[in-house]
Amino acid sequence: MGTASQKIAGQTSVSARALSRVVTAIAADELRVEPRDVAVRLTDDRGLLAVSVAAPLRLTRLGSPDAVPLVQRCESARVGIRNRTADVTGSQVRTVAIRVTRARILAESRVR
Amino acid sequence: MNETTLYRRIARRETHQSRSTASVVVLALVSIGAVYVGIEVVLALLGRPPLLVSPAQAVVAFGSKAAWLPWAGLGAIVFGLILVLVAIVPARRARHALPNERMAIVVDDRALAGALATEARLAAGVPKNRVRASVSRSRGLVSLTPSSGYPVSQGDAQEAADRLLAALAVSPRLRARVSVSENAVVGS
Repeated sequence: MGTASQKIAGQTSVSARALSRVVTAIAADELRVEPRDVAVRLTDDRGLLAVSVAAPLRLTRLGSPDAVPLVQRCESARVGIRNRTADVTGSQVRTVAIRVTRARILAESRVR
Repeated sequence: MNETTLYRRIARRETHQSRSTASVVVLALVSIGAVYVGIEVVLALLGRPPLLVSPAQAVVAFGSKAAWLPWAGLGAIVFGLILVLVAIVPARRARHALPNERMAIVVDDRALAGALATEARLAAGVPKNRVRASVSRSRGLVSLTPSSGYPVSQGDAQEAADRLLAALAVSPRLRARVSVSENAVVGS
């Protein structure tokens, strides 16, 4: 995306596929699962990006003291995906939709 | 004739279509008709049999109430109207003239559209394949389709297009109108 202020000939273009791979990596990181388990679909929403993610979710062991409610986890993941996509790709995201397909309940001590 | 007038005239000739084809066709038809009538008259005077109709027969036929006569008249009216239209319609070519003191410069509208498209898309940061431009006699339309997530400034693109047209100052005068489509496309 060249802007008028930077007078350099040529242009940068990011293919839709590259963009979706980047968002997949971000979503996988936010949800703490493998990128190959994450399906991302990018569409247009009145000029801005609309991200829909279908992925499993990694939860802390039930009843553990630092367990966070599921909805809250998803909300923070959505905010994280929105902000980090904007940071990494420079594109503005209007909507992020997450569909949780499975839940992985694992101790996170090793991951952390 | 001084040079400015000459160049203006050349530019006009290049931006408008000539009527030479129409006049050649009409004059050829008229002269063929005249030659034919002449032949018939001479044959009648010599007392020879006519090629198609003798002048006497023709006069009788035009005075009669034959069924084909109104249709022939109608055909003549249509033909005449077409000729009048050809004469009146400006017959402009898709070109604009550039002001220049030392030569006559004429630019195809397609070239102008390309220049407008480039200016607008560079100002807006839109990839090459997402810009459409067309130029008519008085209006240059540019439409941009942004990439999703990268909002495009209509004002910047409009300003760039206006600047280009102001610098070119083509005649007849062109106005740019840049429109940014509300929906974008993912990826670029």
